[in-house]
Amino acid sequence: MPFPLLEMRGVLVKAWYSLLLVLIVFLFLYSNVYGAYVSDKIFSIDNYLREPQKYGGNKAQVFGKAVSIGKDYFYFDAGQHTLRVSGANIEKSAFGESVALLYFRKDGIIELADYHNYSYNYLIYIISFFAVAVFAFLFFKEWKPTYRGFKDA
Amino acid sequence: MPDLMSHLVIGLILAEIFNIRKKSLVALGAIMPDLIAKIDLLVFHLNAGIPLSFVHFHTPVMGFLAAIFLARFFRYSQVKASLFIILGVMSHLAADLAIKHFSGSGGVYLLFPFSVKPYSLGLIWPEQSFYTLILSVLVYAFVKIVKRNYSKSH
Repeated sequence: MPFPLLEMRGVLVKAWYSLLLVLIVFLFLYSNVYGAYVSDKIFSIDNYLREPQKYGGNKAQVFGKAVSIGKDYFYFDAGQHTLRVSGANIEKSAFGESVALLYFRKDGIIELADYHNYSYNYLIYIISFFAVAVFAFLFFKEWKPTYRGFKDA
Repeated sequence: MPDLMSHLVIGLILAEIFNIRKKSLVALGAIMPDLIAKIDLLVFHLNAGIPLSFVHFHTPVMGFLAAIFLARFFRYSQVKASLFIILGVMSHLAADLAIKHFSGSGGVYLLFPFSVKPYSLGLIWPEQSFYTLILSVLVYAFVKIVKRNYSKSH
């Protein structure tokens, strides 16, 4: 290929990847800015706990663990918040978490609508750890890292 | 999501079926959406206070773009590398579509950035992905055996 054409091809490839990177960064920032923009307009546990009257009347699925089960209520550890939930028809998950469908009432009471236990789900995390190890083995069997990217091993 | 091992094995099955030499590229695509999206968990656990979410990399559009960008780092046919990684990404998202959630509460954002409505076929709960793993390992073994027998007889 004549030299100017080669040079032009190089410029086009660089322009293409720059454009791609700009698009990825734009979409990434767009999703985050949009999320921040709507965060106080939509239902979230944070918003609900602050203003139940405004954000109540919603059903949402929440991940976590039932930590203590009382007679007609239980506490649900949802990570950043521990929620007091009405309804005692829940069993603790074995070696895993639960997903609860909760009804957030406008009067500040949270009711259990439905739940499902991800029993033994922690095993999945352990298996996933091995998956990363298997992937690394397969990857470095085929590719060798160099300063200019990965080349055929 | 099904476990990462199921995603990996499903990716490897596709690599075998399509006779792809660089299987690790399909495998990379098959685990990439979860690896990028899980940066959120890392930020949360480290309490880093970064108000950024990587969850939208777990969508077809972002997976597609990230796959093409990643292909740049391989000294290999860029078209092939992109296609192999994209195949892995799409297999991942297709498998995740099977996961059950309480109605309308979760799923794959198939139409991002045009819509943030989650889609799900609601077939299995996440902890039931053990069955997916067993089934996919059996299918992988079956495909390998069939290919070996085929290459012996030809």
